[in-house]
Amino acid sequence: MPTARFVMPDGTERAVDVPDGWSLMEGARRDGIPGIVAECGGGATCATCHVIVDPTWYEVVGAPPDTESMLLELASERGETSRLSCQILMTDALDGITVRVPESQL
Amino acid sequence: MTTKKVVLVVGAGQAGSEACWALRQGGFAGDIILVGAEAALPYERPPLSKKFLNGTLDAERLFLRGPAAYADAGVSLKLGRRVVGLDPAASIAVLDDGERLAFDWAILAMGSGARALPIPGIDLAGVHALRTMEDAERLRAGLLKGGRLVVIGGGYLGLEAAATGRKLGCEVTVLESASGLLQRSASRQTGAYFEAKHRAEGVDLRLGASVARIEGDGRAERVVTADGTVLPADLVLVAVGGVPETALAEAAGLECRNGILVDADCRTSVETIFAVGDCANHFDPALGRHVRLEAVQTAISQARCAAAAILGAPRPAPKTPYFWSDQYGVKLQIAGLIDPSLPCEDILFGEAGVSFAIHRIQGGVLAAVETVNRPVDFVRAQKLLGKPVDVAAVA
Ligand SMILES: Cc1cc2nc3c(=O)[nH]c(=O)nc-3n(C[C@H](O)[C@H](O)[C@H](O)COP(=O)(O)OP(=O)(O)OC[C@H]3O[C@@H](n4cnc5c(N)ncnc54)[C@H](O)[C@@H]3O)c2cc1C
Ligand code: FES
Repeated sequence: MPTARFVMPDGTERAVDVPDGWSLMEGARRDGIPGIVAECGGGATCATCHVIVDPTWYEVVGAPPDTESMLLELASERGETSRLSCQILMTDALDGITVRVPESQL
Repeated sequence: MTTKKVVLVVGAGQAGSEACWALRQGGFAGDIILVGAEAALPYERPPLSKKFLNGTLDAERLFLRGPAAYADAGVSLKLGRRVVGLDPAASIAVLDDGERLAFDWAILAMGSGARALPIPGIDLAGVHALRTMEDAERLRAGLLKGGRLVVIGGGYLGLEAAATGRKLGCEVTVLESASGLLQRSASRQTGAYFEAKHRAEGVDLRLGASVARIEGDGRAERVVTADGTVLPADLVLVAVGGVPETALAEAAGLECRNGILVDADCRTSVETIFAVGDCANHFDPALGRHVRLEAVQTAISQARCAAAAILGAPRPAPKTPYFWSDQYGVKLQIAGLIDPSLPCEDILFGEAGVSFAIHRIQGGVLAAVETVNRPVDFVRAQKLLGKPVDVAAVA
């Protein structure tokens, strides 16, 4: 099972095993990662699953499609490598992906 | 020695579980007990009429948190247990097995139940409601057999189930007593869009239809309307709205009116007892009136309000309510709220039958926005909510 690393605003790190085919959000939610609220349950509507992807991993996951990019504008602390974690589907290629949880989402 | 404070959360659904996380994240160090009548861990309900019903999302992905998360956060779960009595003066709750739990604060998050339809035949086999995971599993098993589904009630839940029924190959009839769809919750244009969409997808949609009875020999075989129309049925779904779960609160003497009445902090008429989610009729300070909504975002916001009040923290900034619905892959998104007692002016952007946005204006400000297949416009319009609109300029 691929693993994702969530870096919390205080610098601590949590590893989450995400079943293949689940979104990063679903894995984080199951494990209770603070700040991944996911109000819309992965519908790309709420932006409460926003994460900032580590720049090297951002090249692998790629830039968001237009709608997601618009939605990210609603999120605070949007960074160059922001993504909605519900729109990142885990595969073995993403094993080890590191993302940061924005402080304002806590 | 100081004794630990206890928060008792009654109802392990969307609002109840969020209250637990909000308390812990806010630094609450006492005990948190979460009591839920359903045996399952807290899960999200929206997919029950959408992807879970059509079988594309499995149960494991509905849970709001995995079991380990509760243990890690020190939340004691009492699932499959119901709170049957509440004594506000003594701060004690009684469970169905007689256990008594003392609390310093209680958060009532008991949700809503399916509104009953008092007609003959309602208890026949094959007549379904749709509130829980088990309801959805039963309904899906019926839908997978094909056959004829009659949906009573053309609200979001009924319409989503109808769309799922079509997708799974059922013949579907929808009976709605009003003269149009979604009249109370959406604009005329949006209602008309979904009317046309369901008809185009082969649903036999009957407006102004009032149901008289369900007939059958032990099992539902037909639905009969007030004008005598007989509709053959293998399955019937009753989806005529939700009623707030208030019995426990009423028996405890808490003030209730269309839900448990709560103030801006989600506090009930008893200082130490809060109510959140579907069961609460909340005073919304931004709107200046009480509103009771059945929506995930509302449940979450209210849970956080109650947690903040218990923690003595400032009340979280209000968030605009929003809601969504998926039918045949069409995405409807609604943000903001209309005051049904005031006139409303709707302005359409885009193409009425295809993809569009409706800006709903009340008292000169953008009160709500609806979009059909226009997620980008939805995001844009959300930023304008509550702001003045010059109707003459845009119309
Ligand atoms: C089929 C369906 C589709 C929906 N679709 C959407 C949607 O697309 N978008 C949206 O925003 N919202 C949707 N909703 C509404 C949303 O799911 C609810 O608003 C939300 O679940 C409310 O959360 P809650 O915690 O108040 O209640 P619930 O999540 O219903 O939880 C209440 C829990 O309390 C338990 N309980 C009740 N009484 C007691 C007691 N005395 N003791 C112990 N436990 C008790 C109940 O068994 C239940 O498990 C949908 C709802 C349904 C049913
Ligand atoms: S969960 Fe709502 S946008 Fe990702």
